Amino acid sequence: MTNSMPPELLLDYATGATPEPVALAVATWLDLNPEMHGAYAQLNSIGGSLLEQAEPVAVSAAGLTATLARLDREVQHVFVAPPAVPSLVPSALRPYVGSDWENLRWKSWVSGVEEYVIETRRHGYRASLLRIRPGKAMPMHTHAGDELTVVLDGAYNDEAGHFGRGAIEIADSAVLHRPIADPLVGCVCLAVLSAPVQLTGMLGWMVNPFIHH
Amino acid sequence: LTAQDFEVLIEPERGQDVELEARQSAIQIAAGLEALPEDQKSVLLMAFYQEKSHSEIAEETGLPLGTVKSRIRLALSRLKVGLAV
Repeated sequence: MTNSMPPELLLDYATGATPEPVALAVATWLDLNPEMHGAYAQLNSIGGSLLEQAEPVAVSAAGLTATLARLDREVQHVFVAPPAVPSLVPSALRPYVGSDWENLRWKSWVSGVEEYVIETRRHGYRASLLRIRPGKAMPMHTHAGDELTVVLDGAYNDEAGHFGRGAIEIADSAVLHRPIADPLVGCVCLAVLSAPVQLTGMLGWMVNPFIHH
Repeated sequence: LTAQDFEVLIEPERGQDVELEARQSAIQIAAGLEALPEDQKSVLLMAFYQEKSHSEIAEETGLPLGTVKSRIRLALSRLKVGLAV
């Protein structure tokens, strides 16, 4: 299975440098890959070690204000205890979508593809759950920005490989891809876009006006 | 009984393992940081001290994004952070 978290993205997440929708995708990926928690803890301990080795430096008033402001920022990486009732929804996602995606108001914008848009406080991103019917090929598309996809259930294939539950794929604007959902079970995934998708071809020409936001 | 039931059952023990592993590797990391080349260390400093993302580090230093990424990856592999790249 293709599943590679870029180290620089995990570092961005560890230091709190990722915007909320991207942090949500990374936190979801961490929930689904408990074998990576050790590596993530190691990554976090680098910060502590750097601090211990640092020479004391004078802090300006502005710098102090900025540091104190950072303390007020939302804490992102908290591993929540697993729920009493097993749920397919990773714990990081539950505050956003609840513990059962069957209850969500899915919207269908292409036959066989349903979307639930997740509310975040950050503009310029679109975070959503996508549910793709078994065997359904997504319309060919490219992105103006990056697209992060984390598979929550089922699987899909595209030009880059096979992606099952817990896998993450990062596609940038250079990638033109056509994901196809698993022929037996389909696919549910979390997709985070830093710019709207651009569909290519005839179908794209028809659908694009509806997916702008 | 499904796979998820097992996840629920084994989660607490896994948490303790993670903690122990982290403590052992903190010692290893501290030693590794001292030996790290300055260019790799400075990228980590900007990340952890200034909470800059890797693309912000590239913008600020004028380094190509690929260079920042490879410095991060080199540093993490030297520090033996167990991320398969």
